[in-house]
Amino acid sequence: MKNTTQHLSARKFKKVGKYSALAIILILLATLPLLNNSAYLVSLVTLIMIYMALGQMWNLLGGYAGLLSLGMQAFIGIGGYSLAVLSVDYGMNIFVAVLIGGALSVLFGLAVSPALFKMTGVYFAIGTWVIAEALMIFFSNWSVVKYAKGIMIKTVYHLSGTQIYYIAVVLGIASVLIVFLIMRSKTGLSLMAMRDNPGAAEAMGVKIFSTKLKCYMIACFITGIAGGVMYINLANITPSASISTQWTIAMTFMVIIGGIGTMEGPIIGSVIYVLLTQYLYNFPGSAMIILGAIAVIAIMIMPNGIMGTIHNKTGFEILSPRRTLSPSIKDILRGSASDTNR
Amino acid sequence: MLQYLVQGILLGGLYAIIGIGMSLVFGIMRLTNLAHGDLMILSSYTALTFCELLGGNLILAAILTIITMIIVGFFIQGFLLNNILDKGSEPALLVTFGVSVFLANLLHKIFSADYRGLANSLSNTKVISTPAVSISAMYLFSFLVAILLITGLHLVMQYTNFGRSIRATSDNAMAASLTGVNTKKTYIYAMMLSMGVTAVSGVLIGCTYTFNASVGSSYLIIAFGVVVIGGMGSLVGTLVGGIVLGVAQLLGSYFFGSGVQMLVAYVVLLIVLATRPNGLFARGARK
Amino acid sequence: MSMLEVKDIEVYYGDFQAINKVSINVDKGDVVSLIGANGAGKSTLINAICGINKTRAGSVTFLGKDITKEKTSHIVSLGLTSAPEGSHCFEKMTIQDNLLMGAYLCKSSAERKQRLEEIYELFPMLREKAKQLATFLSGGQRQMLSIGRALMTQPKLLICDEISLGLAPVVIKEIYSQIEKITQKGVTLLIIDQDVSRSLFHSKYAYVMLEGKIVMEGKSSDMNIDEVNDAYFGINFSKKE
Repeated sequence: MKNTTQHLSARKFKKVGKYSALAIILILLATLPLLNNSAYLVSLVTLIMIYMALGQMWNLLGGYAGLLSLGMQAFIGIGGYSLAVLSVDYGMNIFVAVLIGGALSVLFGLAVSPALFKMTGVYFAIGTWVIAEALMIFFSNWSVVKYAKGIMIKTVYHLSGTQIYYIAVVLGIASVLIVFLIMRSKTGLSLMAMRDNPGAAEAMGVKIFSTKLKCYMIACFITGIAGGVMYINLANITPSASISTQWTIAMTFMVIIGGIGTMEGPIIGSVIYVLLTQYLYNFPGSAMIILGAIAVIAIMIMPNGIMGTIHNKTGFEILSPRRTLSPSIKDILRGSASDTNR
Repeated sequence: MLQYLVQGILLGGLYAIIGIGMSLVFGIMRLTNLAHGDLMILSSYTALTFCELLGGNLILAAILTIITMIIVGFFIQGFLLNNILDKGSEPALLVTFGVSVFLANLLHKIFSADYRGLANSLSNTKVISTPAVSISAMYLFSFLVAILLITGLHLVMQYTNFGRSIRATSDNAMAASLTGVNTKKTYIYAMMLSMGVTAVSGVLIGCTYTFNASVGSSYLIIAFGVVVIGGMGSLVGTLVGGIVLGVAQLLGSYFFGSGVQMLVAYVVLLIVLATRPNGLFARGARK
Repeated sequence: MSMLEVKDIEVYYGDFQAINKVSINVDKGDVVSLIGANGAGKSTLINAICGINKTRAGSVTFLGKDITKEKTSHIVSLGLTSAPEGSHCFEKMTIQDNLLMGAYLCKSSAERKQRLEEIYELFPMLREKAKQLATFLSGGQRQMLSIGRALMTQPKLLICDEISLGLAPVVIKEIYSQIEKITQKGVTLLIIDQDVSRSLFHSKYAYVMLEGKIVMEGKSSDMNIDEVNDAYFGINFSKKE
C-alpha cells in the first residue's frame, strides 16, 4: 500500500530527527561549562537538572502510578541530611554519602509502606504529607542532625560550580532515562493497564500492589539522591527548609504546567519553574503568590499541561512511553490509511 | 494529668468546628479542600482587620468576617471549583493546593510573618480553678459553640428542605437533579455554609492562639484528621474526631513535652488513615 | 397534542456515537413505550432528553419549549422527569426523605405532605417502611420508591426507565398495575422496557430502538410481535416510515 510505505519512511525520518535533536542537546549539556561567561547559565542548568529529577519522580508516582504524593519532601530531607551528617561528622566521601541517602530513603519508604499503602486517593496524599511533617518534627528534636539549628555542609565547599553541574546533569538525565526504561518495560505496561482499568488489569494478572510499591521505591531512591545533590548545591541545611512543602509545591507546579503523565512534562516544567523563580526574584515575597495563581489558572484552562495539550491535539511526543505497533497493523486498526503524526 | 485530659476534650470542640467546614465540602463534593487551613487563617486575619477598623469590637468583627467568608466561598465555588470538578478529583485537588499556596503567601506579603492574635475578654480567664483542674474560659466557650453549631446544622440537615437537598446531592447528585435540584448551585450553598463555619473557627482560633500566614497547613492536617477520625458526613463524628485529636495532642504534650505534641496527634491520624479510613462514624463506605 | 418532541438528536460518548438521528414524539395523555435490547441506547436517549447527557445535534421540545440545552433541574421544573434506570435512590436517606426530596421544588411544607399522602396511597408498601433507609430495600421496592419520588415532582410527563429490569414477574405485574392509576391521574408516560409484550400491551404507541437508531415505530395495537422481535434483535429489519 503506497500510504503505508510513505508512512513508514515518514516515521523513520521523524525518528532520525528526534534522535539527532536529543544528541545535540546532550552535547550542549556536556560542553556548556567550557563556554566563556557561562557561569550563570551553568548554575541555572544545575538547578533545572535537579528539579527535573524531582519532577520526573513525582510524575512517575502521580502521573503514571496513580499515587498522588504530597510528601516527597521527606526524602529530600533524608538525602540532604545523609550528605550533611555522614560527610561532615563521619568524614565520608560526598558521593557515597549521597548514595547512602538514597538507600536510607528507600528504607524509610519501605518502613512506612505497610501503613501508607493501605491508604488510597486523597487519604494517601495526606498520609504522605503527615508522615513528612512528622519526620520534620522528629528531625527538629534529634541530636544527630543538630536539632533545628541546621548544619553547614563544609565538605562540599571545595567543589566547583562545574563539578556540581556535571553531578546534576548526570542525575537529571538518569532520572529521565529511568522513567523511560520503566515505562518501556513490563512494569510500564502494567502501569498503563492499571491507569486505564485497574479491575481488568488485576484480572489479567497485573500485580497492582507490587507494581506501585516498585515505583514508590524507585521514586524514594531518586528523590533521596536528588535531595543530596540539591544540598551539595545549597550547602546549608535545616529541618524546616529540607522537609518543606516548598518542594512539593515545586514538583506539582512543574508537572502540572509541563503535563502530568507525560515524559516531557517534567522536563519542560523544570525549565519553566527555574526560569520563572529566577525572574520572580525581582519581586521579593510575590514569587509564590504568582506561582500559585499560575498553577490554578493552568489547571483550569489546561489541565493536561503544555505537553499534554500538545499531545492531545497533535499526537506529538518526543519520548513515547508506548511501544509502537508496526504501521500496517496500526493502519488497519485505525480503519483508514490516512497519515498521522504517529 | 486530669488537667490535660479535660483541656484536650474542650480543645476537641474547637478542632471539631475546624473540621465541620471540611466535612461539609468533602461530604457533598467528594473534594478535599487543601486550602481549608489557609482559608481559616484568612478568616482570622479578616477578623483582625475588622477589629482594628471597628476599634476593638470583636463581636461585630466576627459577624462581618462570617459574611465576608461566605462571599469568598461563593466566588471560590462559583468561579473555580464548579468549573474543575467535572474534570476529575485530581485536578480539583491540585486547584485547592494552588489556592492554598496563593493564599498563604498573599497573607504573608500583606501581614508579614509576625504572629498576631485577637484580643478578647475570655483569653486569660479561667472558669474553674482548682488545684486539680483549671479550665480556660476560651476553651470552654469554643466547646459550647461547637455543640451549638453541630446541633443547629443537624436540625437544618434533617428537617429543612434545603438540608435535605444537601444530603440528597451528597448521596446521588444525578438523582437529586431529577428532583429539580440545581447541583452546581447546591455546591455553592454548601461551600458558602462551609466558609461561614470556617470563619467562626478562624475567629475562635485567633482568640485562642497566636497565628500567622504559615500556620494554615497545620490546621489543614487537624481538619483532615478530625474528618477522617470522625467519618465523612457525620456531624457528631467531627466532635468525636476533634476530641480524639485534642486529647492525643495534649496528652502527648503531657508525656513527651510540648515540642512533640503535634507528633502524637499525627501518629494517631496515620493509624486511623491506615486502619479505618472511613472513620469511626462513617455513614457507609466513602472514598 | 404533542407534549414531547425529539427531533434528529445525536449523542456521543467521546468519539463514540451512541444516538444517531433519533426522533420520537409523545402526545399528551398517552402511554408510549420505547423497546430495545441492552445497549440499544434507550437510557442514553432518556438521559439526553432530561439533560443529563449532552445532545450534540438535533432538538428536544417539551410543551412547546426548546429544552435541548437546558439543565436537568430546569427541565424538571417544567414538568418532565424520569425514574432512572437502576432506580438511583438516596441510599442513606429514609424512604420518607427520599419521597420528600421529590417535592423539593414545592415551597409549601403542607403541600409536600399532601403529595406524600397521595404517593403512600398509590404505594402502601412505602408507607409501611417510611422510616427505613433506602439502602435496605429490595429491587422492586426501590423501583416503586424511584417512581414514587418522580411522581412527587408532579410531572406532566414521566419517563420510566427500565422499570422491570431484574425484577420478579410478580413484582413487575404489580408495578405495571400502578401504571394505569398513574395515567388516570393525568400523567403522560414514556416507558422504557426490555419486555416487549408487556410494553406493547400497556402502551398506545411504540418505538423500537437498535444500536442508537429507531428501527421501527407504530401504534402498539397494530404491531406484529414477531416483527418487533426481529427489529429488536436486528434481524432483517427495515425502518418503517
